[in-house]
Amino acid sequence: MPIWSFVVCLLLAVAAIASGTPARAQVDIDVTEGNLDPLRIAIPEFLGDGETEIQLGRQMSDVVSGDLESSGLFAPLDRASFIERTSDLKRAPRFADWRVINAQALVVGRVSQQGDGRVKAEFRLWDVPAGKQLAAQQFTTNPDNWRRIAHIIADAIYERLTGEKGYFDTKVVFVDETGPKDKRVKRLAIMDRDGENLRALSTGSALVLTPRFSPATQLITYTSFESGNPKVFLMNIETGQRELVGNFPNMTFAPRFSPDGQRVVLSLGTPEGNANIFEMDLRTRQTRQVTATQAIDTGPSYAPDGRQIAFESDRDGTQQLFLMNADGSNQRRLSLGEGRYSTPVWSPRGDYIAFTKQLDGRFLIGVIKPDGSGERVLTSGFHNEGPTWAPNGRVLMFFRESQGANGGPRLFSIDLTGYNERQVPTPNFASDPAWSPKLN
Amino acid sequence: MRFGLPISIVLHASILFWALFSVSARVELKPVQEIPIAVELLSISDKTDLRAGDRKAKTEAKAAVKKEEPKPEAKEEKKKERVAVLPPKAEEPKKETNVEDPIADVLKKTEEKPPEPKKEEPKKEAKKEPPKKAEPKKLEKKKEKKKKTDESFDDTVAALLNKVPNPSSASSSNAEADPQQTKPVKSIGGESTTGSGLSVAERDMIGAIIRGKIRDERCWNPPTGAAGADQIAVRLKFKLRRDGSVDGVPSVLNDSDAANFMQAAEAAVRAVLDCSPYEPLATQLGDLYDTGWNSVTVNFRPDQMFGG
Repeated sequence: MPIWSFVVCLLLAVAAIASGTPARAQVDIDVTEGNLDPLRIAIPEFLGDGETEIQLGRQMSDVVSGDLESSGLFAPLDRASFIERTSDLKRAPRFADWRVINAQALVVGRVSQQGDGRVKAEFRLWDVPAGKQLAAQQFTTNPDNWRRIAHIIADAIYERLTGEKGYFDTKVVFVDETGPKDKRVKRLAIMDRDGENLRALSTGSALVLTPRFSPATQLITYTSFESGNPKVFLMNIETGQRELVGNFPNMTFAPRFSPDGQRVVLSLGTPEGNANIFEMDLRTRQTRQVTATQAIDTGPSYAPDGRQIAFESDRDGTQQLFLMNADGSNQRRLSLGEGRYSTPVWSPRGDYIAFTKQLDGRFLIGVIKPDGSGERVLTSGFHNEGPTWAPNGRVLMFFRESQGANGGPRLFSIDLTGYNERQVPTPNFASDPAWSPKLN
Repeated sequence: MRFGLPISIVLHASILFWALFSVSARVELKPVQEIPIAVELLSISDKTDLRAGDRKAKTEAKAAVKKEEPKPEAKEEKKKERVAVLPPKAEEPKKETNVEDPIADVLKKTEEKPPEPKKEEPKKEAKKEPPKKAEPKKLEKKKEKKKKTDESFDDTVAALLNKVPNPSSASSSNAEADPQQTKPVKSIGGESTTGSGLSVAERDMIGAIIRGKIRDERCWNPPTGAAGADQIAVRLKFKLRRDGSVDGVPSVLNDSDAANFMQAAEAAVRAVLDCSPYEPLATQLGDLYDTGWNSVTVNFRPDQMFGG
C-alpha cells in the first residue's frame, strides 16, 4: 500500500538522520619537497672469534663501507660515535642507541672460520627508524675471495636500500698510461671497480685504444695498432688469448659488443677517409655492412634490447649522434643541440644514451634520451671523454685529461644525477675505461 | 481516516527515536556558526586565513570581520578554486601495503630470524605541558631557518636535473603556510572548531607543522635516479601521541607495481619517524587532541620535487 511505503521511507530517512555522527575532519598533507641527502648508515666492524677472523671482519666491513660511501648515496657514520657494541648477530640491536646517533640503517656482520679452511661471512641489515630487519645473508668462500664477498655484501645492501642493482662487484678494463707525454706507453689493464687487484693485459709494445667488455662472456674487444694500422681484436681476459676480428681490408676501429655478446659492431675505414659501420657474428664469422655513406660513421652502440644502434656521423657537416634500426634502416639524427657530439653509449637500462660533446673549446659528458629529449650535461672540463656505464645504468665512468706538460688522463665516475663526481684510483695515468657487467 | 492513528504513532515514534539518538549526541557540540571568509583572498596561500570567531575577542576585530562577510557566490567560487588548485589525491587503496621484510623469502641462505624487535619508545618523551601558544620569537627563528632551507633546496633540485623549476611546484610551496600564519585567529563570530573535529585552519596548521618539520630537518630522501622513481607517490597514515610523537610505525595506504615502490615507501616511513616528535603540536594543539583527532595522512610526491 502506498501509505505504508511512504511511512517506511519516512522511517528510513529518520533512521539515517539519527545514525549520522559528526565526521572527523581528516588531516591530509602533501609533502613535495624531498632531499638528496645520503642515507646515514652505521657499519660496525664485523665480528669474529679468532685474531684472523677479527682482522678479516675489520677489512671486510671497511670495504663494504668504502663501496657504499663511494656511491654518494650513503654516509657511513663514524664508528667512534657508536653506543652499542654488537656482540651477537642473532639478537636485535638496541635501536634506541642507534637512533640517538641518527643512524637510519645498520649493518652488522660476522666472519667465522669453517672446518674446511673456508670462511663464512654473514650480515644483517636493519632499518633503524622502523626497527625492522631488511636483509640477512651469508656466504662461504675461500679466504682469498674476501674482497669479492665484501663487494657482494655491499651490492646486496645497495640493492635492498635503493631498489637498484649494485655495481660494486665489477671490474674495469682501461688503458694504463706511463712515461712522458711524447713517449707514452699504453697498456691494457684490468682492475676491480675500486682500483684493487690491478693486472696488465698487454705489454705496451703497441698502442691500444677503446677496450670494451662483453656483456655475457670473459671477452673484451679493443683496437690495437700492432700491425701499423688500427685493427679490432678480441681477448679472453682469463687466458690472455687474442684474435683478430674479421678479415677486413684497411683499418677497423671503435668496436663494441651486441647485448648478447655474440656479435661485434665496428667501423671500417676506407683509404678515402670515410668509414662505415659493419658487424661480425662471432660464431659464424659472417660480416654484414650496416651503413653505407660517404661520411664517417663510427662509434656504434647497441640498445640493450638489440633493436637499435646509436652511432656518430658527420654526414650533416659536423659530428652528430644518430640512431638506426639494427638492420641499418630508419637512420635519423638524434642530437640537435650546439656543438659536436661523439661516442654515444647506450645505457644498460635503456633510458639514456651517454655522449661526449665538444662546445666552445670544452669537452662535456652528457646524456640524452633515445627520443632526443632530456639532454643534460653531467660534467665539463678541458678534456673529458670515453663514457662507460655501470651495469645498473645509474653511474658513468669516463676519463679526464689534465693540462700541462705533466698532465695526463685520470678515471672519474659520476652519478646519473650529475652529482658525486669522484676520481677512480689508478697507479698511473689511465684512459678509455670500460665497465664490466656484474660479476655475481 | 483509517490510517490516521498509525501514521501519527509512527511519526511521533520516529521523532522521539531521532531525538533520543541524535539530539543527545549533538547536545555536547558547540553551535556551528558561520565562519567569516575573506572573499578577496583567493589564492591558495591564503586559504588558512579562514577565521573562526570568539565571543571573548576584542571588539576591534568586529568591524574588520563584518567587512569580510562573504557572499554565498563568493564562497562557492573560493571552494571551486580550492578544488582546482589542490593536487589530485591518491586513490584510496583496497588494502594496506605490507612492508614486512620481503627479503626473507628470496634469500638463498637465510638464517633464523632474530626475535622481532621490541617497539621502541620515542627518543624523547616530551614534557607534558599545558597547551600554550608558541612564542613569537621561536616562530620567527623557525621562519628564518625555513627560508634558508627553501633557498638551498631550490638550488639543489634545479641544478640536479638541469630543468627550470616548475611553476606548479612553486605554487605548492606557497600553499605551505607558516605555522604562525595558520594559527587559528579568534574573532567575534564563533568558536574555533566547526563541529567536525578540526576546523580548516586547524587542519592547515597541523599540516604546516608536520610538513615544515619534514622539510626543515631534511627527513625525506626518496630514492632518486632509478628509472621512473620520480613518479612513485607514497600515501602514509599514522597516529600522533599527545606529545607530538608518532605512535607506532606509519602504515602505507597505497600500492604500486613500480620496481622501487618498496624503497620509496620505506623512505617515506623513515621520513615520518625520523622527524618525530613534532613538538609544536604538543604545545599548540593540546586542546584539539581532546576532540578525538590524532591521525594524519601524508602524501609523499616526488613528482613535484623534480619540477614535474
